Amino acid sequence: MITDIWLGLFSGIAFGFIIQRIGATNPNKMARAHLMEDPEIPRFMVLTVAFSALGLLGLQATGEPRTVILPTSILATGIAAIIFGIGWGLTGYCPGTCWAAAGEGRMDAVFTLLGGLVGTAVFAQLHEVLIPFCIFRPASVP
Amino acid sequence: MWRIKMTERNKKTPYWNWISAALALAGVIVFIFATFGPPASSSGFVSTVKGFLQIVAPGYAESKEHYRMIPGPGSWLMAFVLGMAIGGFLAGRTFKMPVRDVPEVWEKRFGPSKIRRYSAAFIGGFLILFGSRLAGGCTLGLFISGSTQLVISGLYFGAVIFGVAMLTSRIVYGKTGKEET
Repeated sequence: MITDIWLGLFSGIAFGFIIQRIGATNPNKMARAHLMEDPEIPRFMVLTVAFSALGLLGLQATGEPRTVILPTSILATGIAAIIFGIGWGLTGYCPGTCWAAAGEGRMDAVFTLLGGLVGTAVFAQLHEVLIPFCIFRPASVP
Repeated sequence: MWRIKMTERNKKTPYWNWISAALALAGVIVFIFATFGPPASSSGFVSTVKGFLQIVAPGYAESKEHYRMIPGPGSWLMAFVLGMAIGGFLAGRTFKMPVRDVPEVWEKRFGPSKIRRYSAAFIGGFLILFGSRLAGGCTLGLFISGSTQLVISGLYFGAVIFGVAMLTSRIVYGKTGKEET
C-alpha cells in the first residue's frame, strides 16, 4: 500500500536522523560502548525502550496498536544472539544503523550492508534445514 | 550541577544529549507502533534480497519459506530501511564531525588498511544478519520492539547480544581499546 510506503519512509528518515545524532552510526563510539568506555549509547537505548514502553501503554489505553510477540527458544534465540554479538563486536554496526551509516557516507558500513545481504540470502537458503534444530519456527516482525 | 555538567559536555561533542535523544526516538517508535506495528530493520534486508531475487530468479524466491513470510519491496519494511539511509545522509550532511572509513579505535589496533577493515565489516555484517534472521529480529526488531512490549525473547536476546559484543570487542581491540581516543 502506498500509505505504508510513505509512513515507512518518513519513520525511517526520522529514525536514521536521530540515531546519527546520538552517535549510534559511529562504529568508534559503538566500540567504545562495548569496551565500557562510553556509556552513552547503552543508556540511550535502555531509556528509549523505557519511554517507548510508556508510550505504548498510552497507545493501548486509547486504541489497539498492532503488537507482535516473537517466540523465545533458549537454544535458537541464544545461538542467534551469540552469532549476532560476535558480528556486532566486530563491525560496530547493527542491521539498522548500517543503513543510516551508509547514508552518512561511511564506507565500512556499506560493506556491512553487503555482508548483511549475503547473510540474509544464506539464512533464507538454510531456513528449512535449520528448523528442526531451532525447535521453533523462526518468525519475524512482518 | 548535573545540568551544568551536561552543557559542558555538549560543548565538547557535537552529539545530542542522550536523554532528549531517547525521548525523540521513543516518539518515533510510538508513532511507528500507532501507524504500522513493531518497528524492524533486519526484515528490510529480506525484502531487499527478495526484490532482487524476484527479478533474477523468481522461481527460487517463490520456493523459499523465508521469502514467502516477508513482503518484498514496495512494503513498509523496505521503505523504512531506505528512509534510514536518507535520514543518515541528511544527518551526516548537517553534522560538524567528518566521517571516517576506518574507525579510530580500529586504526589504532590494526592500522589504516581499508581492505582489512572492510573485510571485517563484511564478515560482521554477515554474522549480524544471519543471527537476526535466526532469532527473528535485530537490535531494533527484537530487542527494542520486543522489550517495549516486555517480551521475554527481546529481553533475553538484548542481554546476550550486549554480553557477547562486549566480550568480542575486548578480544578484537585488546589493550589498545583502553586508551583514550
